[in-house]
Amino acid sequence: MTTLNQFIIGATLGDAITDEALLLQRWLRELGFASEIFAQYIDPAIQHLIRPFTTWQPRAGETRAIYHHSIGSAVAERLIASALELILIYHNVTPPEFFATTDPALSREMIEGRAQLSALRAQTLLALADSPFNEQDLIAEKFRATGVLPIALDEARVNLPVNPDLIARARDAGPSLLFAGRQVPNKKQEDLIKLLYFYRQIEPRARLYLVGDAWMPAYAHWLKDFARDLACDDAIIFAGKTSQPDLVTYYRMARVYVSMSEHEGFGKPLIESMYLGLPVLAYAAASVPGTLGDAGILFQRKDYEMLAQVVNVLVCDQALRARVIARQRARVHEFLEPQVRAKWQTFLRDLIA
Amino acid sequence: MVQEISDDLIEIHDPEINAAEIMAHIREQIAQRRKEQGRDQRVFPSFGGTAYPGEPTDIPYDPNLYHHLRLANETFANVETAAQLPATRATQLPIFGALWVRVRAYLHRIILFYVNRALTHQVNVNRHLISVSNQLTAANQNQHRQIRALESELASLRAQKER
Repeated sequence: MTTLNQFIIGATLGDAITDEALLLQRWLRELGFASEIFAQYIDPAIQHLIRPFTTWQPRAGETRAIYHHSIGSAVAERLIASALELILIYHNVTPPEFFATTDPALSREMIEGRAQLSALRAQTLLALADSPFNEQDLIAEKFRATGVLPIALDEARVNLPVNPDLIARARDAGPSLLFAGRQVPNKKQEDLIKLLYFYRQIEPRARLYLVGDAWMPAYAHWLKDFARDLACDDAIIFAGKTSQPDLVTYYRMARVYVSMSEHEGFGKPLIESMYLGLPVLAYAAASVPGTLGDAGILFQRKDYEMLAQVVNVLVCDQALRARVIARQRARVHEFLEPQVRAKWQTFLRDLIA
Repeated sequence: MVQEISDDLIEIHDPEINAAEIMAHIREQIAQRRKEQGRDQRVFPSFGGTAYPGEPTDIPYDPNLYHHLRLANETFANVETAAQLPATRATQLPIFGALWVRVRAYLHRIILFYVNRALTHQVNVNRHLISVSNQLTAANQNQHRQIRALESELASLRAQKER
């Protein structure tokens, strides 16, 4: 049996990279490969699925591995030092500038991540990016063979019943905006608070749901202070990291998904929103236009007063809303498991051939 | 007066949706609201604050100021909070040693929980203070350049007058 293990840096339930690694593991095993996932940091909730990367020892005949790259890490360091040939899956490295003034250590990890990407080139047989935007980095780094393998949407994980308690708590709320993603400066949650400030001048009962891990405590803390400064704190639900059924409930309760993010490697919540019939309004940055394709509504400038009106139109104009949702549903088809799996198998077949 | 609002804001790739029409409607609504309630001109702060401005190359500067400011920028978030649990004679005792290792690790974790909370607060305060220092230093550089430009203009005017 051929071994094709995967290496990731952090393994957390609900994280796009971890979910993709688990999906690839299932596909690989169904094709007859022996495949384990090794990670540097492992969320205790999934430690039965992932192995500590320090325990990895190459088996006899193990010549290839899959590595998911997103930040500077000891995992990349070890793989670079190994004799393994790699299938690199590149999820993008957030530009260090986003952290330079706020978290110099994290900024250094991003710089290291960029340097490691170059160092990985020599032993990489195939470099896959999860978006055309990310593939540009691989081409710029002169990887020999590149391709795009999008993040797949696992329908079973979004076709879940809602949490009735959350629904009951939101009974008297006005129209709600949603953003899902870790609280980090590049995702610009503060700009959603600015948007809410203007939208509340049109719809005073409006709410904003911010779902996602307070990954950078300083930023998470500042967001709350900022919301208080704008007297919006009573209208924002900082949901933090939620269970999958709760996340689905927030998608179901919201009226518009808004992204102000200035750097996304893919933007998984965009495809989840499209699948669940939530109109998307997103800042056209990084991979976002590529993920949305010809669906959703993009904006080029952060004119909060105007965007608040756009939100209002999307909430109130039923015909426009229905049209946007229909187009999004057609778009998301490309990200469903059978389509992505077929692409993956083509890449794998070509590589083995 | 209502300021003109451009309509290149949104992008919809759907031939059945008329983005220009939507924006015209939005423009009308904004104009109406500004007429009724005035324009909200609020300016928002940003999280990142101001980056280290770097030593200027075109004006004299105090090396002490830039040396300490640079070090403060590089180190304000460096906090060592990992537990230090080296093996001791007690940890190597049979049976009791293993128990002591677990108890000691547990106690360290509790202490670190509270220490980390205090440190997080201190790092936040550091961040605000350093951002303000960076901003004041950058403003000082700009003012210095302006003063030099004005001095040079003044000298040239004086020279002209004396001629």
